[in-house]
This record gives sequence, structure tokens and C-alpha cells, in this order.
Amino acid sequence: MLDQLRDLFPGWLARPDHYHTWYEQMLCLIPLLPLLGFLINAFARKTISRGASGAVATLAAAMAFGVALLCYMACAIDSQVATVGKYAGMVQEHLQSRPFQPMHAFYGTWLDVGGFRANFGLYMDELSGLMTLVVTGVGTLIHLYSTGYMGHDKSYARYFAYLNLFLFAMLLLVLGDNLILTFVGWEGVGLCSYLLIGFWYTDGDKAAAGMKAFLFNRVGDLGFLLGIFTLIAVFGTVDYVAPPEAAQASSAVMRVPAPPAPKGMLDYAANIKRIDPNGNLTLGQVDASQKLDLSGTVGKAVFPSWSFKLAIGLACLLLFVGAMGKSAQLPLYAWLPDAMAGPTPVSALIHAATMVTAGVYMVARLHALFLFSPHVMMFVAFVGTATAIFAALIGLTQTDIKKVLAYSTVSQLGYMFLAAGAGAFSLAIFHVVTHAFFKALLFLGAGSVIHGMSDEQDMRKMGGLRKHMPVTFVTMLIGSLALAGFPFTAGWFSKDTILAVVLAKSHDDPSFGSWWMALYGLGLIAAFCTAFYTFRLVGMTFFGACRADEKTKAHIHESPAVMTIPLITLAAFALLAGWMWHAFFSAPHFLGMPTPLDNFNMNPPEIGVEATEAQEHWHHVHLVNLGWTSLAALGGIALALVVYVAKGFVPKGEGGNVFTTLSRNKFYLEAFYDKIVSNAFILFAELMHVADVLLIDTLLVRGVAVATRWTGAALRSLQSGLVNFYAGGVLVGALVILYLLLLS
Amino acid sequence: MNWSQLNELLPIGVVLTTSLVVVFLSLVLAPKDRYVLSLVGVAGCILGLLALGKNYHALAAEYGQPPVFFNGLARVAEGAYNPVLLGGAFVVDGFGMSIMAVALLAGALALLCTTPHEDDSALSTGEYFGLILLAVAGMMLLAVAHDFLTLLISLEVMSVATYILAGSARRDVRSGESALKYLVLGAFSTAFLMFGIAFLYGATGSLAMQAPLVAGEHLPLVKAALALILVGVLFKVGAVPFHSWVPDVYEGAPTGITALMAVGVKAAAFAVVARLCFEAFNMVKELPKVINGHRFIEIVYPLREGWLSLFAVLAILTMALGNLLAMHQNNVKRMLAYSGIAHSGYLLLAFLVTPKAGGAEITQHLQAASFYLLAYGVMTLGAFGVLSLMREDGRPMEKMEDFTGLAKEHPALALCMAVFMLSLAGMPPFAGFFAKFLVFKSAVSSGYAWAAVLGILTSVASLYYYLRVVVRMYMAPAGAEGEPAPARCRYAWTLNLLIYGTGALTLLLGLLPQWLSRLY
Amino acid sequence: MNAWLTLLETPADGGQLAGLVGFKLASCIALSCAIFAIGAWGVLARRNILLMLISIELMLNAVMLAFVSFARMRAGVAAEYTAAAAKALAEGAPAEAIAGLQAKSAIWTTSGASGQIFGLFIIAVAAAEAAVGLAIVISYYRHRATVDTRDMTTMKF
Repeated sequence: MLDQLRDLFPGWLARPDHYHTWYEQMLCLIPLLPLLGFLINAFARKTISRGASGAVATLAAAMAFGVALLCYMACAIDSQVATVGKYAGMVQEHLQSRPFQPMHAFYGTWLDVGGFRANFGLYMDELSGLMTLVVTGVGTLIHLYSTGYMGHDKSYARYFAYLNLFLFAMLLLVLGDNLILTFVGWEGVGLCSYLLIGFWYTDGDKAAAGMKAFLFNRVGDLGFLLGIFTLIAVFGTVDYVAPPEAAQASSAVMRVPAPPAPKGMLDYAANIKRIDPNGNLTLGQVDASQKLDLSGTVGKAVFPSWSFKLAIGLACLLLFVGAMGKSAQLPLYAWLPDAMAGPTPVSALIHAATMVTAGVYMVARLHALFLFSPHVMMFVAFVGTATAIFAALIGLTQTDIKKVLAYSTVSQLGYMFLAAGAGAFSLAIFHVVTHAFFKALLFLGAGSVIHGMSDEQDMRKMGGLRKHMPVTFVTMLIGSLALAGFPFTAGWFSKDTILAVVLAKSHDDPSFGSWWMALYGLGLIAAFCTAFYTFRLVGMTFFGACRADEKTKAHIHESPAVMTIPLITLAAFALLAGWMWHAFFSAPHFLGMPTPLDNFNMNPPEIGVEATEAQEHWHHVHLVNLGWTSLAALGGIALALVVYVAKGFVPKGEGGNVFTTLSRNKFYLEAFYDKIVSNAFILFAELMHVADVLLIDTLLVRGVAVATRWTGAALRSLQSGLVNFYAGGVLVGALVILYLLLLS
Repeated sequence: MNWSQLNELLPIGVVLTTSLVVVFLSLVLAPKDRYVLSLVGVAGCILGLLALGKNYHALAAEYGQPPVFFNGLARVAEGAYNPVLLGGAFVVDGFGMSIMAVALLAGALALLCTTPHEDDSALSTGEYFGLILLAVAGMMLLAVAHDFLTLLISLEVMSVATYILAGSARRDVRSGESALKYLVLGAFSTAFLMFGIAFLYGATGSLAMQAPLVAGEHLPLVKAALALILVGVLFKVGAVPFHSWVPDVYEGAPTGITALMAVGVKAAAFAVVARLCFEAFNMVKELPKVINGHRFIEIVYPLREGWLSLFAVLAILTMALGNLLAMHQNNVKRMLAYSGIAHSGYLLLAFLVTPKAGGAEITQHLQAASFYLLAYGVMTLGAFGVLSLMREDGRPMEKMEDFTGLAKEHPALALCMAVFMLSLAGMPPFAGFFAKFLVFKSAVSSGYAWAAVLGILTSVASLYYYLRVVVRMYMAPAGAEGEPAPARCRYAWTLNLLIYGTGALTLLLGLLPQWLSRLY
Repeated sequence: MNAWLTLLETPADGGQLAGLVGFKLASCIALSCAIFAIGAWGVLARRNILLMLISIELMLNAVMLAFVSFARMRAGVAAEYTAAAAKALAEGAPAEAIAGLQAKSAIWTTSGASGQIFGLFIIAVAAAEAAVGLAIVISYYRHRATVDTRDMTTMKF
């Protein structure tokens, strides 16, 4: 029995022979703990109390976070050094010098059929480890928040069951060691998102929104699946990295001798890089004449490099289509604003912090492949920028507080893809992390506001809430500053550097130089709009007079501690997370990826070494960009404050001293805003919105539906029920087959 | 003749014997005890499965490897298992065994789906159960038939039994209508099949499965024969344009019989498709060639090009039509019928090999096909099982509306149904995902990427109608519920157990496909 | 197409030896095809389910005719080889040549027989289908009192 088990799960029962192994065994706990929480809440929801189901779910998430932290530390800190930790200085030294040791836990062969093989394995390197920490960390806070927010809901246990199931799927997506496992998680998060959007399914519109999200994602999945097939055709495997040696040796479960276990895709990509004559190739500058040695791939020893590049490019393009669906990029973004029909903590967790960034994660995970196809990278950057500006413009005129944040999320996701397209994958992940903090904060804050306002979401009926909800106000203000890119907040560090890299590329990239300049300009405009609509939200919600009706007004209250504690924690991160920038930005090969500076051969000078010309140039570019982005952010904030705060203060006569000067110019500015800026912007934003409704909703969604209905109706008429007619079909078919086969 | 070879056919013998036992037992039993008959039948199926498993393991242990698909291309090596039995009448290989297992599962479910106390029809009599077992025996024979005479006889044993079974609900007008349609069209297409066999016999003088391999000189006649035989087989499969009987017959037949047809008949017919394409019409020609002064022998398969492109086109049409029409159905049973057509299309994709594929590649493709059949069988049987439990005052409840809010009333059954629907749509981590994945992957790897693209597209579209059932069950608008009947599902612990079993298997096949995917 | 034609030719001596005088495979197969086509047309054109079943019987009989004709042709070829062997024996040909001819005769005899047997099975199959078909028609007629296929369209689309 034990032997059989050992055969089936070779990695599981293997004797731990090195320090890592215990942590590798623990790795599977990270996704399994939320799964356990889901099972408890799904099957015992009638027997356990409400408090217990919330506690179980939150605890599951928190424990997953704890295990993830332990594993991450185990990768980052060497055991031997840790055991002699009393020499603190040594540990310190080691932390700096020792590279991150990835963990690869292998739990057995999942599928080995039809000449194709996939494993059960979890892989934690810097990239997936960081994502795991963000997912479980933010996830825990949102679980905690939900125990307060959903307190009055009757389907309390069902909600937490879904939430835990989501965490399980998301962790599978992040930690899976091959594309198939990632895809399973990918579909799983889609399903949970669908279930949670339609959580209040008694409302027909909300159920429809869930359906829309699901269908849009399936369009993306089509691309994802095709991309996987292409990669299988090229590499013969979907593993990211080769499974550990021990596991390969003992995995021969079947009597049929298994083919030699293939290496992982990224191993190949790394090998290809290494044999490049230049040696230092990073940005996919594979020489067209050069042969690539892929010996070891199934059946195809040597590719001509152009066909390899073409195949990889195609695969990347298809995978990016998948990312467009999941991460709501143009033109597949339309489901995300509708997805706000779900409970607000769900919007914070799934539709802001984690699931929608899965596309960015996938691109970063496969960055070694994307680097081979500069045209696809350029496409990624284009789509990202277009989405960023488009969504930011729409965000300007929204009045539903959650819709503003939804469009803002779409826009920020655009920035992440812009960074990825520019080759700054680690920056894209940096923005994912900071965005997870401040956007989750903003959503939770919005949830707190909605909670306090008796489920009112229209900002026109809010105002003046800062006095009633001081904690929510302060934390949301911090989140807004971060989103707007106010200097020294988290959002400033990540967004500013993304734009700096784009600007640098415009000088550096010979083939697409002027295009990068255009993208930079659009990115700046989007940054201005971001700052503006963010503070428009703050102004309309927290300043001015309260425009709610009396009944609601009497009921406004600050949220309980379970809701404010996550807000405060996230606010701290939104303020401080940016200071990690050094790690993402200039540490050599952080996250196992080339840093943006690597791309330009502009690593920061070693201590005591003269800065090169390229490095000087980079500093120049960075400074220029700093000026522009700060101008955009501060300008946007200032304009919004003037229009929405100052305007709101004066009528009541309690304008406060700070805005007195500005309020004197109110008419001028208001006229300016109304006549020129606002008219133009509002017109444009409305146009975008109309295009959204008209093109995406009507033409795409309805059009496909109508087309299917018509073809279906035409085909139905063939199914007349008359048996002679059916026999005629058989006869015609027989004649056609006869004709075709006799011809061949 | 080596009589010990009969051991390999033991599972079929068990089922045939059980069918006789059931018929005779029905004469002895009092009418109220007739439910015992179905249990005896199920016991026969289980015994058959056990015998099958025992044979499989004995073979695997004796010869050191599981019995592979016998494609007639290579001579069986000395000392290895020779699956060809009884002078070439049968071939019991791993592929045939997997199809036999699917047929036995389908039979067990069909036996349990019947309500024995119903007296409005022939359903309670022993013949009904006997015929189900006979049909199962026919399917099992068809899965291992290795000459055209055996093939025809097994096909007829299976078909005639199902014609009668389809019409067995005598009070129901739809049942009689479905039986008549099935009979007329089935006999019509069988006539084509026989005509094809006649041509093949004329060209080669033999009825053995390998006959066409050696008959090179009468190629046009052999091609005509292939075309006509394919008509008969593709009809049973339900491929476009031979699909039109499927929805009408599936809808009218009693639900258990529909499950038997949708799973058992289809699996057996696909076994014949595999034997025809990869053995009978696997004609090899060796063309000597000189390249750069070196002599080579190029191996070509002159009959393959034709049916390969034909299958690609048929697969596309079948997938598209099945899915498009399934979207418009309001009757879940009819929707499942159209979805069954679509799944035949996906299965046809597994038969697309490269024109020069050898034994190993063909085996890989058939592994994908038999995994698909197993997965499809399990989830379809489960779905029909749930459907047959839903009754109210004798009127079968098959409409979409009838599923409204089922999750509240019967949470376990609704959960199973949701699993079956999601799996049929190809959602991971259920069995249906891997089945589709393998099929699409094999189509891509043999150069039919465009077919796979269309396949994925249609499978995305299919989600729409499968989800309608799930949404109905779980997310029905509160207002539209009306007043649901006190209990929509009757309770039959055996069938409930089987449904839970198939539900668990659907999940298990998705989570650990490895356990059942490498049978040969 | 040459192979197809040689197959359908009568034996070289006009069938004298085999007693095949007047037997033309080509015309037999043509007749079989014609009957098959008539049957198929009947299935398509008739709205009476009984007539459709009869048309199907016609098709099955056409198949049987094809089988029997092919079998007869093979029996004829076998007879030719037997006669050739006898002739060779009379002329004192070498023993291997005679044995070869006799073996060929045996092969063609066997293959001829299997066609005849298949014909018998087709009779059985046709009988079974007809019996079941008529039973179902009667059962249906008792309920609906019609045998017209145009009335059998309660399930469609």
C-alpha cells in the first residue's frame, strides 16, 4: 500500500534529504488551507454558526499567509545561516549576497496520455512567492473586513465559501509549476468571480453581469488555450522549469516506460539565451540567420530561428489575448465595470487586487518567451496604453463611486501592460503590488462609505462625510494620494518609474522610438486624468455638504473595527510599500527577471565606480520624467480640488482659509472647466462611453447572440421531424462521402 | 482453435447469461418483486466489469505491458499477447476493453433508471431488462468485432434491441414515434453498410478486417466500400449529416434508454470507426525512392487522405451544428441530444492523424479518444440519471423551467448536475476539460490546428446552454419560482448512488486523469 | 477503373466449364444497384411507414443479390481453376503446377462460400428488422391510428 502511494506521489513521501524539503512539503498547504476552509463552509454551513464560518474562512486565509511567509523566508534565508543566527551580522551579509533559492515541490504526475505529460507541482520563486504573499496578505485583510461588511447578509457562509474557493484557485494559478495548472487556477478564479458577481442573484441585472464576465473571459481563454497548444507544439512541454531530479527518477508509475522527462519551457528559453553569440542578449534580439539549438525538445532538434521566433510570437500573442480577457484590456474590458454588481469586498479582492492582475502575472511568468518577440511586446504596450487612457477618460464622468474605481482599475492595469510591453516586467509586478494595496484600500473604503450610507453608491447623493467617518476619510485620502501618484506614496514610485522607462525607451529603442514617445504622452495624460477623477471622488464624497436624504443622513456612521483595521493596515502599506522600489528597480535580477536598467545596460554604478554615459543619461531621463509626472499628478489633484472642493465649500460660507484665494477665482475656473476643459473632456468621455455601450454591448455581445439565433433558426428548420426528410439527409451524405472518397 | 482464448470474451458471456437469467426469472417472480430483476442485471454488469478487470490485469501481468490497440500494421511479436481470437472473428485489445467498460457502465445506469412499479408500459417486464443486457452485449461484441460478419451481427444485436427499447414506453406517443424513426433510419443506414460490405467482399473475396489491406488492385471498389460502410457507422455515431435522428429519438425514448444510446451505442460505434480507419482501411504502399543517391522506401497510406479530410470537415460541421442547435432548446433532454452530437464532433477530431502516422501515433490518438469516451460517458450518464430521477405524476420533467431552484430542494443532486454540466462544457478541473484538451491537442499536433480552433470556439459557445441549467438550479430569480412541487425527484437509492459515483468520477478523472487514461 | 472492369468480366471461356453460361457479373451488380436505388427512393418518397419498411427490405435484397453474384463469380473462378488442374493433370504437367492450381481453386471456393453465408445472415437480419418494425408499427397504430410519417412529427426542431 505504502509502496503504491509512494509510486503515485513520489515527491510526497520522499525522504527529506535537504533543508528545503520540509518547506517544499508545506508549500501545498498554501492552496490547501483555503480549500479546507471552502469545504468546511460549503458542507457544514448549516451546522456551524455565522461567527464560526467567518472565523474559519479568515483563519484559513491567515494561515495560508503564514505558511507562505515561512516558505518565502526559507527561500530567501539560508538555513545554516539561520541556525547560527546569533551572528547577526552574518545573516545580514547573507541576506544581501545570497540569491533567492526557488522551491519546487513535486507531487506526482497528473496526466500522461496521448504523448503529453503534465505534473502536479508547485513552484515558488521570487515572482510567484511575492504574488502569493500579496494574494494571501490582502486576501486575509479582506476576509476580515468581510466579516463586518457582510454581517447582515443571510448567505454569509456561502459568501465565505466562495471567497475561500477563490483564494484556492488564485494560489493554484500563481504557484502552479506548469501552464496547465495555471490554466486550471485561471478558470477557477473566473468561476468564483462569476459566482461572486452574481452573488445577489435575485437581482436579474446582477446575474446578467456575472454571465457577461464569464463569457468575456471565455473569449480570452480561447486565446490562452491556443497559446498553450502552440507552446506544446514548440517545446513539447508546458512546465515552466524542469521538475526536480529526484521526482523525475521515481515518477515511472506506469509499466510503459515513460519518455525522458522534458525540461521546462523557461529552461529552454534560458538555454537559448546562453548560446547566443553576443552572450548578453536579453531583449529578444535573436539574429535571423542564427540557428537555435533546441536539442531535447520533442522531435525538433534544430529550428531555424525565424520559424522559432514566429511560433513563439504567435504563442505569446495568443496568451496575451487570454491576459486581455482576464485583465480587462481593450476590447475585452467591458465586463469589469459591470462586475461591480458583486459585494464590495469582492470587488476589492478579485476585481482590483488579485484576479485581474493574473494576466500581468502570466506575462511576467513567461517573460523569457515574450522577450523573443519585440513586435508582440510592442502590441502589449499599445494595448496597455490605449486601455489606460480610454478607461481614465471614461472615469472622469462616472458618478457611481464603485464605477469610478472600476474604470480606474482598468486604467491601472493598462499601465502594468505598458510596463510589461516596455520590457520592464519587474516594474509591472511592482505596480501590481502597490496597486493591490491602494486599490484594495480604496474599494474597501468605498465599501465602508456605502455601508455607512445605507447602500447608496451615487456620489451625487454623498458629500461631507469626512466628519462622520474620519477613519474612512483619512485612509481613503491616503489611498487616493497613492493612486493619483502623489510624490513618495506607493503609486508614485511604481507609476513614475513605468513612465520613466517608457521615456527612456523612446530614446533608446531604434525601431519604435517615436512610438514610445507617443505612448509616454498618452500615459502622462492618463496620469493627469487619474489624479483628477480620484480627487473628484474624494471631493464629492467627503467634502461639501451632505446631499443625502434625511433618513440616510441620520444613519451615517463610522464602520466597526473589523472594517477599519484592514483599512488602516492597507493605508500603511499604500504609504510605505513604494520604498521597496530599490529592490524591484535596481537590484540585479530581482524576481529572476532583467530589471529595466538591465535592458538599457544601465545598471546603477557599483560603489566606487564611475557612472557610465548610459547611466548618466538614465538619470537625466528619470529627472525629466519626474518633473512631468509630478506636474500631471499635482495638476490633476489641484484642479479637482478647486472644482469639487472649493466649489463645494463657498456656498456654505465655511470655506476655510486654505481655499479662500482659489475660491475667489471660482467663476473663472468653473467657467474654464465648464466651457473648455469639462465640455471637451465630458464630450470625449461620453463619446467613449457611448462607444463602449454601442460597440461592445450592442455590436459584439448582442450581434453574436443575434447571429447565432438566426443560424440556429435556419438550421432548426432542417429538423422538421419528417422521417423521409431525414432519410434524404442520410442519402445525400452517403453520396457526398462516396464522391469525396472516390475522388481522393 | 485455442479454447482458452474464450476467457477473453468472458465479460460478454456474463452479460449474455445474465440477460437470459433475467428473462427467465421474470417468469417466476411476482410482479411486485420485479425490481429485483434490475438489480440482477446490474449485478451482471458489475460481474462483467470485474471479469474485464481481471482479464486486463492478468494480461498486463503475464505479458509485462497492457494490451495495446491492435492496428494490424505490425505483426504481433513472438511471446507477446496476440489479441486476435477465434480465427480472426474478435480482437480483444486494450482499446476494445475500454469501450466494453463504457458499455457496461451505460448498461448499469440504464437498468437502474427504470421505475419498476410503473405498470403503464412494458418497462416492468423481464424482457425490458433482458433487452438492455442484450444491447449491452451487442455493444461489447461490436467493440471487439474483427471481421465484417461479426461486425454486422453485433451491430444488429445492439440495434434491434435498442429499437425495441426506444419504443418500450407504450403509453407515450413520443416513445413509439422515436422507435419508428430510429428503426426506419437505422435499417436504412444499415443497408448502406451492408452494401459496402458487399463491395468489399466483391473486391477482396474476404470478410476479414484485414481484407482491404491486401486488395490493392481494386482500389476504386474498396474506396466505394469504405464510403458506404462509413455511412452506416457515422449514422450510429450521429455525425452530420447523419445526425437528424438523434434529437428526435433521444427525446422520445425513455430516459434510461437515451443514456444507453448516447453513451453505449456511441462508444461502440466509435470503436468500429477506429477499427475501420486504423486497421481495415490502413492500406500501406511502399514507394521506393532515391534521394541524394540513397535508396529509401517511402510508406504511404493511399486510403487515408480521403477519409482524413472527410473527417475534418464532418467534425467541424458536427461540432458547429450540435452546439448551435443545442442553444435553442428548452427541453434539457433534447439539449443533451444536440450536445451529444457536438461531442461526436469533438471525438472525430481525435481521429485526425498525420497522413503518415505509424502505430505509436495512432495509439496516442486513440488514447485520447477512449479517454474522451470514458469521460463523456461518465458525465452524460450522470446527467441522464439526474434527468430520470426528475418526475412528477408520471409526466417526465425535462424542461429548463423544471430545474428552477433545484439546488434548494435537492442540493446533492443539483451539485452533481452542475458538475456534469460544467464538465460537459469543458471546464477544468473536471473530466471534460482534459478530454477536450487531449482531443484538441492531438488535432493540433497532427496539423489540424484550424479544426482545433473551431472546436475551442464552439466549446466556448457551448458554455452558454450548459450554464443555463446551472443558473436555473442555483440562481433562479426569486419571483419566478411559483410554487415548486413538494418533491421533484423520486428517491431510488441505487440510482442516487450511481449518480454520486459518476459525479465523483467526473471530478476524479479531472483531478487524477492519470489513473484511468493509460489503459493501453 | 481497369481493375473494376476485369473483375466484372465473365471467365475467359465464356463460362462453359463452370456452368456460368449467360452469367454476367456486371449486369448482376447493375441490377443490384438499381434495386438498391429503387428501395432508397421508396424510403424517401413514401409517406406510409409500411411502404418505407418494404422499401428497406428491397434494399436489403439488393445487397443480398450483390453478395450472391460476387459469390457466384468466385465459385466460377474456382471451377475454372479446378478444370485447369484437371486439364494439367491430363496433360502430365509438373506436380507443383497442379498443386498450385488446386490450391487456388480451394481459395476461391472458400471465398465464394463466405459470400453465400453472408447472404443467409442478411436474410436473418432482414427478418428480425421486419418483425420488430411491424411490431412497433402495430403498437404505434393502436395509439395514433395512423401510419403516415407526416403525422409523426410531435418532436422537431
